This record gives sequence, C-alpha cells and structure tokens, in this order.
Amino acid sequence: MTHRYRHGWLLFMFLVLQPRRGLPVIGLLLLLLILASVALGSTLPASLANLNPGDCPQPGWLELCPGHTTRAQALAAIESNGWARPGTLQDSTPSTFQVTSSVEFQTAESPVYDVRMRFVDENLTHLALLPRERVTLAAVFSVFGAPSHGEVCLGHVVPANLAGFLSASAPAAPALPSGPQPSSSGTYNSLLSATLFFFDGAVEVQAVRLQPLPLASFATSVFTPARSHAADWLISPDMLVARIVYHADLLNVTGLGPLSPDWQGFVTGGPPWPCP
Amino acid sequence: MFRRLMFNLPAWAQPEHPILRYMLQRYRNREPRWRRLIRIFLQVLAVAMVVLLGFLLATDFGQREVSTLHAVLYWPLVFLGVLVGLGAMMLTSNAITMEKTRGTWDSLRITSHGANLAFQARWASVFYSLRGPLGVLLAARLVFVVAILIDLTQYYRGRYLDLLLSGITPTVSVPVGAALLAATMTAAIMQPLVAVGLDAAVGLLLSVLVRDPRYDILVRTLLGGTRVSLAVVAIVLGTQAFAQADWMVDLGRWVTLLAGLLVVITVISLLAWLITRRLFTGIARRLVFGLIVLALIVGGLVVISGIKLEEGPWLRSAGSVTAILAQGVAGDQGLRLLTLEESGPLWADVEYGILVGLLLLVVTLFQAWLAGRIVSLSSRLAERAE
Repeated sequence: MTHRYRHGWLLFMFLVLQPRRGLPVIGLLLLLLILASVALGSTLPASLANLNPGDCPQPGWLELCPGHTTRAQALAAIESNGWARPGTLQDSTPSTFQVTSSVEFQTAESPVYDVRMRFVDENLTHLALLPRERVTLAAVFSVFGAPSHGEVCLGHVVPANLAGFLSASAPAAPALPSGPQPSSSGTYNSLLSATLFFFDGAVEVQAVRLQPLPLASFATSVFTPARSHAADWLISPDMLVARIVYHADLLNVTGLGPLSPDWQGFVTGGPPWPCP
Repeated sequence: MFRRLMFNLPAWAQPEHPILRYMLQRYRNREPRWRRLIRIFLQVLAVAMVVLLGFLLATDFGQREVSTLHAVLYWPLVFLGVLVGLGAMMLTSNAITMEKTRGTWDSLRITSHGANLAFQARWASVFYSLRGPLGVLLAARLVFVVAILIDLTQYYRGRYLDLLLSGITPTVSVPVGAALLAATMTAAIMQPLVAVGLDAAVGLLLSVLVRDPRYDILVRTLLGGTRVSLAVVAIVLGTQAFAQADWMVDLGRWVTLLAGLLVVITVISLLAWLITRRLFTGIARRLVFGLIVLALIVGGLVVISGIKLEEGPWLRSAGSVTAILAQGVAGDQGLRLLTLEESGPLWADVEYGILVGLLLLVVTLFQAWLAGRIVSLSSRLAERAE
C-alpha cells in the first residue's frame, strides 16, 4: 500500500468520524439515491399484465365496469376489440325465469386469463380473471397500489389454473402443530395463500406461494421465537396471482366483513391459521 | 483537492506529522513471503468457514432455501464486527506499557503535548491496522445499500417504498420515509467505524488506568469478555424485539419509567446544585450534593418499581425500539436494518419503528463524540505525574 493510499484510507476514516463533514455528505447522497431509485422505478415500462383498469367509475377491467356494464355492452366490447380467443367465448343466455347469466372466454392477449363474468338482471355484478400464465403480485400492486384489507392463511388446495406452475404433487394438508415443537425436523410443503382487497372490496386478489416449510418454523426458543421465520409467510412481490375478482356491490363482498383485518403493510404476525 | 481535504485534518492526522509517520511505518510488512502466503491462506480458510456457517444458519442447516445474500452474510459480518471491536480495544489497551518497554514514554511525557499526540496517533493508527476487516464490513454494507436501491427501483414500478409505508404508525409521506431510510443507511454505514473508534478509545483509557503490567492481561481479558457479552445480549434483545416477544411490554414499561426518572433527577439535581453552591463550599458542597443525588436515585427507583403503567401498543413500541436500538449499537451495528425484508415488517409491526434508524444515527453521533472525549481524557490523565 503506497504512502498516499494509506493516508487516503485515514482521510476516509476522519471524514466519516467528523460528523460535521461526513454526515451531511453521506446522508444527503443516500437520500438522493433513494429518491432517484423511486423516480426511476416509476418510469420503467409498466408490466400491467393486461390489467388495464380502463375508464370505469369503480375499478374494472378494460371497458368492463362492474355495476355499470350491461351484458349486451360486454358482448359487443368483447367482439369489437377481439379480446376473446377464437372458439372460447361461452354465453349462457338467461331463460325466462332466470335473472343471472354468465359470459366466459379466454383472452387472446398475453398473459392469458380465463374470464368469467356474471350478470344479474343484465348488469355485470362480478368479473373474475383466472391467470393461465404467470402473473405476480408485483404487477397487481403496480396497477392497484396498496390494498385496503389483507390477510394470509395456510392452504392445501392448489388452484387449478396454477397447478402447472406449482409443484406437480399437491401439497400435503398441513397438520399444524398445536403448540411449540422443540427441535422438530423435516419439512412439509405449505401453500401460503394471501387474500387482498383493494378499494374496500371493489377488487379481490388471491395470491399463493408454495414453499417447503420446516416444522422448526413453529418451534420456539430464545434464539428462534415463533415469529423468527416470519419471512416465510410474508406477502411478497413474487407470489403468483390465482384470481382477481371485481365486485359491483361493495356491501356484499364474500370474505370481507367488519372483522377483516385492515392492510397494515408487510407485517409479520404468523404463523397464519389454516385457510377456511 | 486531496491537499485541501488534508488541510482540514488535525495536525496529528497530517501525513507529515512525525508521530503518525512513525506509527504507520511500523505497519510496513516485513514478514517473509512464505509466512505471508500461509497467513493469507489461513485467513481465506477462516473466512470461507465463517461464510459456510452463515449459509448453514440462514438455511436452518439445509432445511430451507437460501433467501437473500443478507441472510447468508449476516452472522459472519456480526462475528467479524465483534472481533474487530475486540481487536481495536486490544491494540490500544497497552499503549503506555509498550511505550515504556521501548523507553520512549518519559520522553513523550516531558515533550510539550507529547503524550497527547502519541495517544491521538495511536488511536488513528488502529483504523489503519484494521483496514482489512473494516473494509470488508463497509463493502458489505455498501452492497446491501445498493440491493435496497435496486429493490426500490424494480418492484412495483417504484412504489415499493410507498407500499412499505402504507398503514404504519406514524403516517409518513414517501419523501419523509426516504429521509428516514437514508438516516438508517447512514447510521449502519458509520456504525462499524464509530464502534472501532469508541472501542479503541476505551482501550486507551484502560491503558492509562491500569499501568501495572501484572494486571494488564487480566483486565484486558475481563474487558474483552464484557464486550462480547454485551454484543450477545444486545443481539438476543433485538431478535426478541423483531419477533415481537411478549416481554417487550415489560421492557417498555421499565424504559419509560427510567427515562422519566432520569428527567426528574436531572431537573432536581440541577436545582440542588444551584442551591448548594450558595449554601455550602468546598467538600461540604460536594458531599451534600452527592447525598441529594443518591437519595433521588434510590428513592426514584423505589417509587417507579411500584408504578403500574396502563398497557398499550406504545409500551410494546418503547420496549421494541429500545431493544432494536441496543442491537444496532452494541450487537450487529445496524446490519439487520439494511434490508427491506426486515425493516419493512419492523415499520409495520412496531409503532414508531420507522424512527429506529434516526435514533441509531443520533446514538452513533453521540458515540463519535464520546470517543473523542475519551481519547482527550486519556491523554490528560496520561500526562499527569505518576
């Protein structure tokens, strides 16, 4: 190490240790870098995953607005825009005594969704998107922002549309230990399921993540308390979206009620309860 | 520009200063090539083993997949940080003894500010001596900072920070959240250097207080053991806080009561000092003032032990923030906060948890100030006649 670089190292030490000199420089630089990262991220090409919300009074998909679009309008929009893959459009025309009807099709554009719409008295009440390709939670958050409510649970049924992406064998139904399990060994496949509600129930998203969880995740000790493996059940951007449902009636959203937990950010909590 | 920056350094830190040049020349490598190769090989082997241990801990000995680089490197870096602190302490704890052995101590003492300059240079030379491990600690932190910046950019089209801040207490905007995150990063980057400076300063103070070589090894062993124990306790506290252990509420209660007691004692002591200055002189004044403070402390502890505070989220927050702060200062030097996978849930789970980074920065600045004061105190004590 040459004489000059040796003192350069000392100089760095003193610049850092002299708060009047070092602190403003380092702190300001980091703040600028963080703000630049956020700004740069917002300019990246949007991977909206074909979830364009369109121009609806409440969240919708493309030109299909729950609570406002009629069945005839929906069919016309699908045909004129070529959204449906040829041969996949199914229209159950309601009979005289039926008030509900449905329209289903598969999208032509990627990522491919199975689209299922339900109409009551010719008005669109529910619109469900079931991805047939990998759509991650990151894309959903990019489109809808922060959820209003959210919770996770440990499930054991792999959504059929995701079976090809997850483990070929369905995860074993986890028999959750009833209490602390000291020194447990072995693993079992756990399906972590997150149910998120956006805009107070206007949009419901279910996302899953399959991962092996050691039974020791539920063990407790001074160094590994029960929540120390909470990263295993954190909602993460790489979770696969199983379905997206748009609701028209915000007062009657299944699974969302007065006791539904508000979205509190990426909290730890856990281990989560089994899914109902 | 280099010369201009050098101009702002203290005299004893200038490269032309004879004492600093003397200290640094001692670090010129004189060992034979074969010994150097063996030393490097053993160092690389030790590093590989520690990293492997970190990998095993991060994966629960193979039971889970590797999640992040931070998880793998966390424990090796904590271990290295504790070793570096111990090394800094040991390098300066025999300052006077070494100068006496060389026969230069008396010359330094009779020279104008000689002992002071020798201590300052000795303190500064510790950073050079530990430049390798310090460089590793700093480089790792810079890697984690870059990883955070990449995450903020690529996830959710730049809205990751906004999502992490949503629903937390207190409600903060993205610019404020960014500033608090920057404070956290700054504190985590500065902590290893400041910790080394403080440990080295404590070592210098020890060398002044314990000059008898017969007790040197014993005291250094005790001090080293205390330092390691503090780190272990701090890390356990922080781990429990991140896991939201129930006893954080009790810790919060004691922290709140002790903080209140400290404020009350400070105010009353100040009043007592002003009053005793007028009524007493000399030793009587100090004795009366000391008795008053002692009575305040004992009485205050008795009183607060019987106080029961109403439980609430703020008590848990107080306990958790204190424990995580302790971990950042004495345990992992802010390393755990350098990943959004840990910081994000902390902000969401602990009320006012987002302020931990700012508090850590304030404490870091205090540590830097304290290190300087301890070095000055040590040199003043050293210059006094034995």
